[in-house]
Amino acid sequence: MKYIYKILTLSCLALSLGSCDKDFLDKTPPDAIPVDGFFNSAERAEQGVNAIYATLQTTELYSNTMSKLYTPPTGEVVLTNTGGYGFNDFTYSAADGILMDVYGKLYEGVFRANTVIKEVPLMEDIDAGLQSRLVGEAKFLRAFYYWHLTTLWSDVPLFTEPFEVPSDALVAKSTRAAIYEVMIQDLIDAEAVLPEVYGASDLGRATKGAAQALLGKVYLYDENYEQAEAWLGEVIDSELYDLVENFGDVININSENNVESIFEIQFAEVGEGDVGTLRVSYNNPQVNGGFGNNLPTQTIVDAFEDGDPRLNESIFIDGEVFAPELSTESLNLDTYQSVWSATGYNLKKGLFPVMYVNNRGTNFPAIRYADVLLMYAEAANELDMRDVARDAVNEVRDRVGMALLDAGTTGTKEALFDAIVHERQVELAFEYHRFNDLRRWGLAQTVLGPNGYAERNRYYPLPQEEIDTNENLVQRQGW
Amino acid sequence: MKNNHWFSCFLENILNKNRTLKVSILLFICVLFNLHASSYSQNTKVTVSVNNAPIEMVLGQIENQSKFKFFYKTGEVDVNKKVTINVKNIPIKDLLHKIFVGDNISFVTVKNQIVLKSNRPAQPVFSGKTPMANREQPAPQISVSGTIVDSNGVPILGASVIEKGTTNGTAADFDGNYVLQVSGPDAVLVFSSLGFSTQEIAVGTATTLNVTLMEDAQSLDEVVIVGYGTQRKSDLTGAISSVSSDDVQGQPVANINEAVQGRIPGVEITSSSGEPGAPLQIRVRGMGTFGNTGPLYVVDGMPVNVTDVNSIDPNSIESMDILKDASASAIYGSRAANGVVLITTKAGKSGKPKVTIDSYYGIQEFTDFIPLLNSREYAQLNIDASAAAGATVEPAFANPESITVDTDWQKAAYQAAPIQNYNVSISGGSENAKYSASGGYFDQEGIMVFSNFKRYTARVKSEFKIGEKLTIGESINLSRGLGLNMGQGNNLDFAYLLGASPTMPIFREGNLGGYAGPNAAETGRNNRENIVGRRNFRRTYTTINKILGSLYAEYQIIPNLKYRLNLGINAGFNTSKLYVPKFEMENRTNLVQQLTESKNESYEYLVENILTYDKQFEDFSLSLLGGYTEQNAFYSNLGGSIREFPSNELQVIDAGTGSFTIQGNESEWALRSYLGRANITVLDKYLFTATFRRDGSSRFGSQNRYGNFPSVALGWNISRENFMSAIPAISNLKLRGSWGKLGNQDTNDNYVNQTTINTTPRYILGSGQGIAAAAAVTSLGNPALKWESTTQTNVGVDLGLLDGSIFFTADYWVKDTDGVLLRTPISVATGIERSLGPYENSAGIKNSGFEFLLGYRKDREDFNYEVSVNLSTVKNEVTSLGDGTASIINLVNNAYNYGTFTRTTVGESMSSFYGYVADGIFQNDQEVASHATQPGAAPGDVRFRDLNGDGAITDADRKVIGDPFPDFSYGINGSMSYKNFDLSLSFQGVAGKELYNSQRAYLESMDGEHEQMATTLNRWTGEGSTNTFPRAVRGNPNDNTRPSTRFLENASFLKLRNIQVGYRFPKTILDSVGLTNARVYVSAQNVFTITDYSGYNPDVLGGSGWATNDLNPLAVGVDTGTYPLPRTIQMGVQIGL
Repeated sequence: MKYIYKILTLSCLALSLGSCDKDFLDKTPPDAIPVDGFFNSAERAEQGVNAIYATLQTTELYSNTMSKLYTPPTGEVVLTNTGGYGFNDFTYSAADGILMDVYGKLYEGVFRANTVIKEVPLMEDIDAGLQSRLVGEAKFLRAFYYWHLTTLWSDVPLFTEPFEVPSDALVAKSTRAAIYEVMIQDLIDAEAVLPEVYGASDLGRATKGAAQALLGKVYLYDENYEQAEAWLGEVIDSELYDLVENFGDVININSENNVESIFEIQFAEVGEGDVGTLRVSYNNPQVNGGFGNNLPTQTIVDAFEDGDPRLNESIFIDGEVFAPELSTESLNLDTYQSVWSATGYNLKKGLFPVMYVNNRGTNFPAIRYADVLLMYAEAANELDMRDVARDAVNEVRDRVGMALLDAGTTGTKEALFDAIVHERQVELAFEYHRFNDLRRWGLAQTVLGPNGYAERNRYYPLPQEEIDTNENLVQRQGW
Repeated sequence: MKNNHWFSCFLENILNKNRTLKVSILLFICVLFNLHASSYSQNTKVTVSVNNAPIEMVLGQIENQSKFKFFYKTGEVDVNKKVTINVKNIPIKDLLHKIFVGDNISFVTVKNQIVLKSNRPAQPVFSGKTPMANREQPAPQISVSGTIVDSNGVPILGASVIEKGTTNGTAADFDGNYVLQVSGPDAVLVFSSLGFSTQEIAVGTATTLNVTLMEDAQSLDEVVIVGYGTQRKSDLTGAISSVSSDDVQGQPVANINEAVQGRIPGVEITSSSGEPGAPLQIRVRGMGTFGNTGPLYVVDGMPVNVTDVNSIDPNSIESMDILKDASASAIYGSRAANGVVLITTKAGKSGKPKVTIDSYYGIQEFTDFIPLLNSREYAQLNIDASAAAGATVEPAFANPESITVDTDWQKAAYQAAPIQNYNVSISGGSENAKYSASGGYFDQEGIMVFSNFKRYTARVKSEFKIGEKLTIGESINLSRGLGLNMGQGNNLDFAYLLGASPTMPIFREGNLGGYAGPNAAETGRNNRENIVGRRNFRRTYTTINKILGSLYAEYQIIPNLKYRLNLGINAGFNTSKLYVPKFEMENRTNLVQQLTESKNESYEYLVENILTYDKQFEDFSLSLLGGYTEQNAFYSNLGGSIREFPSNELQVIDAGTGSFTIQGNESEWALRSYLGRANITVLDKYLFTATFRRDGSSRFGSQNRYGNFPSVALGWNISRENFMSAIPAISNLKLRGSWGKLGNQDTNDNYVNQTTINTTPRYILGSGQGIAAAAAVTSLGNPALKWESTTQTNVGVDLGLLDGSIFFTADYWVKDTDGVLLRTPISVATGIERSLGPYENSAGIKNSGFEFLLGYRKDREDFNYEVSVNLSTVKNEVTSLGDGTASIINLVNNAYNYGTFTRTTVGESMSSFYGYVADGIFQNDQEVASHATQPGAAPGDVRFRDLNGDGAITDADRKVIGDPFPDFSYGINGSMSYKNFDLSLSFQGVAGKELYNSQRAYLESMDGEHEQMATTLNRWTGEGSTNTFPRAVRGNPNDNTRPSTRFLENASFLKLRNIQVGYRFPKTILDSVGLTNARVYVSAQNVFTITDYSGYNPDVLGGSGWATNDLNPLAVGVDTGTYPLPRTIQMGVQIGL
């Protein structure tokens, strides 16, 4: 009995030395919120919508990588230093990781939009106006992400609801037309509910004008010129937008969200990486701590008419003012020197004034009024409304003091079209429009053929990893 | 004292947090003080009260109350004499006088031993308290005396000396001295002691016989550490390999794992990186999972991470026991699937304090550079590449003859570097208190400029018997490691080192900081940095502070039944600091200082309650164990960065003036377990072991939280059967068989059972451009996730021939792993990153293999030698991959490559190489035209085989082109000693291993973007020039570097890992200088490697990402380039005081 007593005592002692509480094994992450019941307040709904925007400023999209798919193929810049050389000369392969990075991030935006579009309408304790606005923003953004996806890959998988299990994403491609239908409906829905302007604290959200402009753009890409003209005309007629006086202020940290801006990707110099434009550090000349990734070529320099001030606002050319504020005794950074670049040039648009902080938070305009005017001109010209078309182009030229077009030089549809082609190239240089324009105009083979462009380069191959992961996904022809 | 501040804060923190630990730390401190409290003197006071009791009982009471032990010859002192004593607090001396009054007994104190001697004439001699049987011996005629010492010259207390064939014998005293009367010159003396091999010496005419007994590591009665206890080696049923400190002494290694490379069959240890302080990669019996494939480490009872092993001074390790099969390791249940490594630190032994000093100093060197192009050759390659692409040659290379700079970046970046180590230890104790303490300092300069590692260690381990029933003890390891590391982007540094243009000088006068950088005029588009400048300006300093300890109390409840409480703590505090100063290096100039710091705290405690019952019956012995344990770990980190400082000299956050960031997070996990084991040994012949463990883990959702891990094993000591006595040559023969189930719960995230909304996405909104909160799902959890479980079967045989001089062990094992934990790469069309899908019990993997160990040893009087060979094979096969998944494709993303080189497919080895088959070089347009359509191909490009015959080279023309698993791995180890000299050699080899040399793919890219290997001089230059090496061309239009057989290499190797020659000073010299032991040695590490592999080191696992120490099992075998291993030559001394 003595032994048994001892054993009992010790067993009790033994057990008391472990903390036998029930939730010893229940642990939850201290930095996240349970997914169930997340959308339970206006604040939460707004955070869900903000997350859709957040994808836009990631490294993979507007901050850096996406530019490699849009700009080097135009032959107007050459990528150096950090890979992606295949995009200079169309020698990229489906396995190039840049493709998957961009593709995946665009779908991240789609997924986040789908989540909001599904969850927020189910919410009850939320102001109805805010509720519909938030859903409207989500729909605009979903269309915006699909617009990039179709522009880069044409036919891609289409999702209008968030996945339940990851295998839900293993579906076949939808046609570009089917995706366009969804995009157009989304934009029409968004246009109806989005406000024309926001209060100061919400600056940067999608507006009615942004939805109209994107809708016009989508119709233009779809060659539906009537609808394009109509919707882009809405933007112009709203009189909410205008060109900024000084072309150098179009993309400039000192004039963000200006009157010309219709939809602008927001960046700020807050900390690093996440919210700064890496674009700036990647493209700044190496002498300034950047990487000099996208170096302008002679092709784009030559594209500017003599005396076009936009050349000097877009490209650093030997002897120009560079970074006077930074110049120190040891570093002569007053003036740009062509030896700093393998091509003799560096990007200036959006990078000036040059500062040392690599990730400067300069906003990037995805849609701006000059683009709308030129798209409107294009649609109008196709509809044989040459005078209004010419006026729109001239509005853009007038800002920089270039000679206005007249019926003498641009009397025909073709001549005016050529003028629009030129105007878009120089006005919107390095803003990710040129490659899209050349392909939809059917000019890519002529202009880019010498660089290696072939029919299969009309759209990018689907990322190899996706083909390998998803058996239902069939690679594009020619890849 | 700044450096010690963290420690007191840390203690304070613990003490406030956890009551259990508070108690344990107090106990620990008491124990430390106790250690110094013992002093031996006959003046020690005792209290005795007996009535008519035998003297023996009084002596027993004195022993209990003091540190003394009595020694007397039984026939000489009558301890049965009855006395009545009643005294309080009197000195022992006085008490002894009282009880032996009139007996003519004298007392002599030798250390803590009191020898009782009769002053009457001597009788036949016996020592010890217990009389030996049969004292009726003929009167001896010769007296022989001498000293018995171990190989270190330390006296062996209690070693026995017996005249062969008689029961006449004695035992050595504390100084190892003995005196024995023997029958005559024909007598043979047998010297023996537990743990030493027995020696027989004929007396002859000698009257003095000094004997050195050799430690007998392989002795059958050797005790092996098993989980939660020890076992006699002869009773083992599991597959356990042990390495003792003696096997690995005198190697210049910071990490014990490195010292045992090539010594243990079935355990593959790779030192992929020669970076000072880098951990090693260990695999026990193949790779059975897609996550962490390393074993569980348990240091003195405390389970730790592989990186924690780095904080332990190899000098302080007594033994390392590797539990390989299920029977041995199932007691560790949910964490044992990859094997278990038990590390036991040195403990004190009874005896006078023993001080040992170990130190060495060596020089490391690396000269096996990869041959690269010189400046002119590099310029010519650029000219050729530009010409082939129709591009203009960059001015920097247009005129090769005029280039004067020719930098050998490998010469610039690698240096001869010292390595040194100092360790002092003291150990000793009495029957009731044993202690061992040591302090060490290790300092290794890196062979790459601006890298090093220093480590300070302090350790104490002691054990105290309090009364008859209670034993308490502790083992505490403290360490502080200071590193100057490669930091993040390790891989990138090697891309810069090897890829930088030779036309760039190292230094440039006038540049702030003094280094040159890339610039168009000198290096064209090649912007790989000046590695020397980069390393100098981007120094990452790390500190790793570690407290690893355990404290236990064992109480004997009733005879044979013991309760043990074990408390463990593993606390770490690590910091990292990177300061980038203002400097000029042309277009890598940095004008803005930046400081990045991080601090991580980890704290883990363990509470174990264990009951054991051991009983020896007439024909069988029984050992039962049951326990309950809890373990809880907490992690937190805080980090930040800030830009702009008034000067390069100011390097703390407060001095920064510009924009800053801050991050911090916390996480924890917990494990609760129940465990049990039964060992039954019948007639010392039939062995049976059964174990069971039930683990509950916080990582799994409530429905699958607990897992059960049973095992059973049988052993048969055939050599102990009667019929075996007919075959005396066989001294040991044992068959073993085991089966069991093991688990794995290792996930890279502690909350994998739940999907949550992440609030880290951010966006900028508003005219003030401020951060707006955002929230989204960014990774997926799986509430149904459960253990990965491995069923392992093992059969083995142990054979000893000719009294153990030939020893042989063989094992065959099969490991079937089910429900392998994996974040299966998901489609990014979900909107979630490819690698952040849910963990799933996704796959099945089967590993199987053979292990052999064959050795021969011979111990002679002054010539001992031992040689052993081990060999092991592993066959790896993926047996299933979840529902419908055909293969898992891994994406390699590092400074050299981006793409998929490996895939894991059912029916193949994990991480099989996957790619195109290179098939020569297109010699002319006609060959290009007649081949299947291969986009971008031109004469001089690599021809890839059209495997599916569809007339076009597409991704469908890839196949499995090899696998990273060697056919077999082997080791050859030899040691010998002749008189005072000793020599040891250790070879390590791997056969049939392939690596995908992705570093070579980078260095043979032929596009002129960066420096190239000298092999590119053999490039295609026109029809018929070569059929093996492609042309140089900018843009690489044919993608000649795509994953293909072109970069697959045979990485078999044989390496002389260590050779060592030592000399032990003879006792005569030692005595004259007052030392007990002194050995000097010279040794060399990584002496040579025989291999065809073209990279730095064939002994890499590969598969790493940007930081070379990450191992991705899904990309094993892809060599992404690592810090090379140095050859080290060193001298050392070992001294015993």
